[in-house]
Amino acid sequence: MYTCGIDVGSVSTKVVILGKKDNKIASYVIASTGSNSKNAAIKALDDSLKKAGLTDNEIEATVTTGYGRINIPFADQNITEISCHARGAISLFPDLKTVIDIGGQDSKVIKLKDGKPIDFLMNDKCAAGTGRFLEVMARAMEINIEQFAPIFIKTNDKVDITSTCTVFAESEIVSLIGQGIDKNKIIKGLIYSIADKITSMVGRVGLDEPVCMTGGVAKNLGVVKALEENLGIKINIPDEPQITGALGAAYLAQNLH
Amino acid sequence: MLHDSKSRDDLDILKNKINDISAFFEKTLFSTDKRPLVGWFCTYTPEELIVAGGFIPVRIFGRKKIIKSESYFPINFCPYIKSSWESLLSGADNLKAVIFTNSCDGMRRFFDTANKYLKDTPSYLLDVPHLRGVDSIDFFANNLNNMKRFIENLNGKKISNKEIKNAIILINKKRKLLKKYSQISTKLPELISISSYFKVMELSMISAPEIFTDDLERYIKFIREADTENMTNLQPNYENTPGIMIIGNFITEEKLWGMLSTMNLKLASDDLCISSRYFEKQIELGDDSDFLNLTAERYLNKPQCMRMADLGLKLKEIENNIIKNNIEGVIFISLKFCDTMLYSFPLLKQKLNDLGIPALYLEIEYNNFSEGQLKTRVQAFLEML
Amino acid sequence: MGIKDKLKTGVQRNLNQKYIRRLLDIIAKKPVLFAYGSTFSSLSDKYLNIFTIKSLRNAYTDNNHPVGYGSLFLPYEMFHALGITPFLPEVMAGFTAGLGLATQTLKEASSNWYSQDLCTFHRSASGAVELDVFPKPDFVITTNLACDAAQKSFYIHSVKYNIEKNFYLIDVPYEYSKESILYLTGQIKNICMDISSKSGIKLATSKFKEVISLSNEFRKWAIKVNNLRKTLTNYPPYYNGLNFILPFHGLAGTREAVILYNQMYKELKKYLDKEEKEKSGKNKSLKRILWLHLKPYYKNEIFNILERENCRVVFEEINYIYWPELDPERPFESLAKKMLSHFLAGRIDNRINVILKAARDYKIDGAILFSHWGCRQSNGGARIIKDSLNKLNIPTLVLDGDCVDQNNSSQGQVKTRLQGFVEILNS
Ligand SMILES: Nc1ncnc2c1ncn2[C@@H]1O[C@H](COP(=O)(O)OP(=O)(O)OP(=O)(O)O)[C@@H](O)[C@H]1O
Ligand code: SF4
Ligand code: SF4
Ligand SMILES: [Mg+2]
Repeated sequence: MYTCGIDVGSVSTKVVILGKKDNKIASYVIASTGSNSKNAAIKALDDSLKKAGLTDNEIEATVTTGYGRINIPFADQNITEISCHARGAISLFPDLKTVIDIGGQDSKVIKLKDGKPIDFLMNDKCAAGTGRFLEVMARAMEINIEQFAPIFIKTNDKVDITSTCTVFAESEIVSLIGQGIDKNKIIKGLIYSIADKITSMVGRVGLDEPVCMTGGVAKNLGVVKALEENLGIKINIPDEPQITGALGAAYLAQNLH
Repeated sequence: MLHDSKSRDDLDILKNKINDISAFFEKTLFSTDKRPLVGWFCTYTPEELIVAGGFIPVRIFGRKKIIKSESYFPINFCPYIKSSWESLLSGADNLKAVIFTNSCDGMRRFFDTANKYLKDTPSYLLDVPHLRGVDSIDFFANNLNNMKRFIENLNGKKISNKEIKNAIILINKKRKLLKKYSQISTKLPELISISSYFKVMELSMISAPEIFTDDLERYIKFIREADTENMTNLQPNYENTPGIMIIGNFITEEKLWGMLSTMNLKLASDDLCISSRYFEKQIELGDDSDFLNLTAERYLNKPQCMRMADLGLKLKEIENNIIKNNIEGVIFISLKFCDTMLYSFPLLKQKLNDLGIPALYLEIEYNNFSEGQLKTRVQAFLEML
Repeated sequence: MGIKDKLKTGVQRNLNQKYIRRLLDIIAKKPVLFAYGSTFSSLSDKYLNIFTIKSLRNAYTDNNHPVGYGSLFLPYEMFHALGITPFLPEVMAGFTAGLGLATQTLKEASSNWYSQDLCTFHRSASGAVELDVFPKPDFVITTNLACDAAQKSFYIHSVKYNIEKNFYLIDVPYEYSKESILYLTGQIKNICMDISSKSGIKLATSKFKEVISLSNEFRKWAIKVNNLRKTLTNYPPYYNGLNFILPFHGLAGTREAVILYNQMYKELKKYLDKEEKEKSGKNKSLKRILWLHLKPYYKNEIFNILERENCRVVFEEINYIYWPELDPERPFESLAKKMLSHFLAGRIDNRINVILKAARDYKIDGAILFSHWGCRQSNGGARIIKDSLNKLNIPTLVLDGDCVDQNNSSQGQVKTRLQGFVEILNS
């Protein structure tokens, strides 16, 4: 038998189907959430079942998480991303003390004790320090977000981005480009400004190692590197960090029946 | 207007010389004075008592990029406090002790934070009343006595009346010179740049006062002599430029001063806690030997900060300055999240409307703004005048 | 549509003083008032609302009583002794949120140059003053106790109504000391004398004594209520300890406050007795929450979510009785001591002590600090508060939001945070 975890995030919807006996991922899907989160969840689940060659009868329990966690009809329970990311990360790195999840609109720092969350912090209402911030900036510079990491690594210099607000930062970047400043340096500066934001959040909860980073932004190795530099530590990254919440949800679903 | 090119060149040379602050203040900058330092934040802190105790009073300017500090305070919190906390945390200033005041909610929480997380550096909070009047002066004098005791405990040395008196004389002299310098630079905007003006102000708050006053005295003398050679007549440009007044709190933006220095404007008056609110009004030494009371009197009656109760009086002070100095435009700059400052604007705006004075309203982060945006706004404002 | 909704849409459509006055005239008539009162399911709420309407009506009608604007944390005993009808703009700002008027008032404040980052209790009240919705004051009295905002915004009110001469700031010193008591006692006395000579209402010693005794009586019942709540878990429907700010402050020294807290005691006692009888049904997995600072006063889901998740706010810091019994023989000094005893005066340690005491007394499982956007004094201490509670292994959620402006936070984020916090409490 299997359990299923669905993480309906603000940007993307992730599904993980997890084997109950072997704890192996039978299949996973990452899709865009779009404007209708319910449909996105249904479609992603279908795709995932197909990928694994399973039918929904073989799914014993389903837990949903993420922003769209509440209105999913076939879910047995909904649990917040805080518990799910923590659970998913723990399954990969058993003695973790801190999980940093950076998604599209939220960044979270979760503190763990004996594998359980004991404290957490989420970003304030503005989008600075989240994936969407990076996306908006990437669009302003007409660069694909996947280019950020390679650019970060090959560029030595950076330009300080002073604005932390998405709207102002965008106009600042436009004016920097107008001044003929090298885009690569701007990107490097942007990544540091995100890393600074996260660093202060980690500071608020208190840094405890080992640390793992999850969520789509963990795929941006530039952010990871800058963060490692700021915190002076090494950060663990799952093979597919974006599905960690869904994975955790699937694990939590195992406790249901 | 035509000028012969020789005098023009002379003027440029003179200008460069006068604005080379580090040359004039070399002794101040490379001071060998080894007295320990005591940090302070708010202009209601009497430096006199710190000097009398055998310490050098240094104002904490922060100027540090806010990283660690961010995790102690909320996002929407005074950026000056955050960056000062960053610098206290880094231990860079090498302070023997820090004196806080209850100037605002932010400062009170800053003191709590320092007390809790910076255990090695003793800190003290000086309670400053919000009201004026005899009772407040008495009460404040009593608080000054407590502060004096705190300072005495730092090095186990009693502070004598004589030492307080000497310190008062010294700081009075500093204030007098600063005021003189301020008047000169208002008169000679062509010679003294806005950047230089604020640089001197800053030095006055972070240096051994004896050395600084010496340097400043020589500096003023030099400018005076240069002025008598009528060099300034060469450049009457500024006569038609509008006189601007800057009103703000702890504004020490080098980038901004630099920007303003390149623009065609005359800083004719200011109401900032890093200039006029710091040096205006002396301690009146007469027959009275209750020096703490005299000190209390000066500090409570100096040009007031927005934190004081009587906003009406503050507005009156500003109005007087506007009329006296022929101000044609006001630039209001507040650090973000400074409640007392921000609350002063609705009434100030009304007042300025009544006086027919246009105002530019700016809320900024501390030492951290995007130049392009600000420049456009300031320039547009000046064009409007 | 029920009477409450009618009220709401009525004021929304006719946001002006005259309409409000007419409305209050109608509701404050006895039969209507009782009918209105009986729409509330708990006795405490019933009395709260009746007394609020009465107090507002007094402020809005022209009678012989002068009206005094007062900020929170003032010793309102002095108002009642002086025969001044108190009007509390900050509490009214809470009402602007509850009645769905805050969008209008906040917009008005913005166009009058109140920065977006200032506390919305004050911004909304200032907007209402600009819109001329509040009754005209004869005196404006405020204090710097707790925060800087009141002394500033209240001064602006006094200018707006052209009564700067009748503006008074009670300057509460930082520390509790002999000198501070003296300084503060002098101020309170002078202000009372000044107001009395301006209003022509004599400040009679006997009256002051009576007011002080009533205040002590209210204090006594409030303490009893607080003690009860140490074990109480089942509350009357819709009861929320964060709703009683007006009587707790503005009515201190009146018979109404005594009646209200006495009734509250009786009501809660009934619930407690019932709970003790049905011991078997006692809710063991209930999570006991300590609430710090205020809450949103517009319609919101916070307390429903907590209820659903089997959490109960068992105490609110603002209901802590922080002052010692007042001495009727020394009214001014007693009121000075009352102010100086407030846990938001001076160091944060004063507040921490109250919080830790409440944590022990109420055996709390977790604390929620509602982080109201513009509140520097409270949020500036969040880190220290959280660290102090964490030392006792009490999880603390700093919940970002705004008490008055519902557009300043997203319901989704609030929900995720609350649910995540509950998951931690339950793990
Ligand atoms: N290959 C990639 N390289 C760099 N960044 C990526 C990549 N893939 C995704 N991202 C980033 O990840 C973000 C989405 O992450 P994620 O799917 O975890 O968000 P979410 O769960 O939908 O959002 P939230 O948790 O805030 O509701 C995007 O905004 C983007 O910035
Ligand atoms: S700038 Fe304003 S908020 Fe900051 S310390 Fe000064 S008075 Fe307080
Ligand atoms: S919420 Fe905070 S800032 Fe606003 S009035 Fe209350 S104490 Fe002052
Ligand atoms: Mg997510």
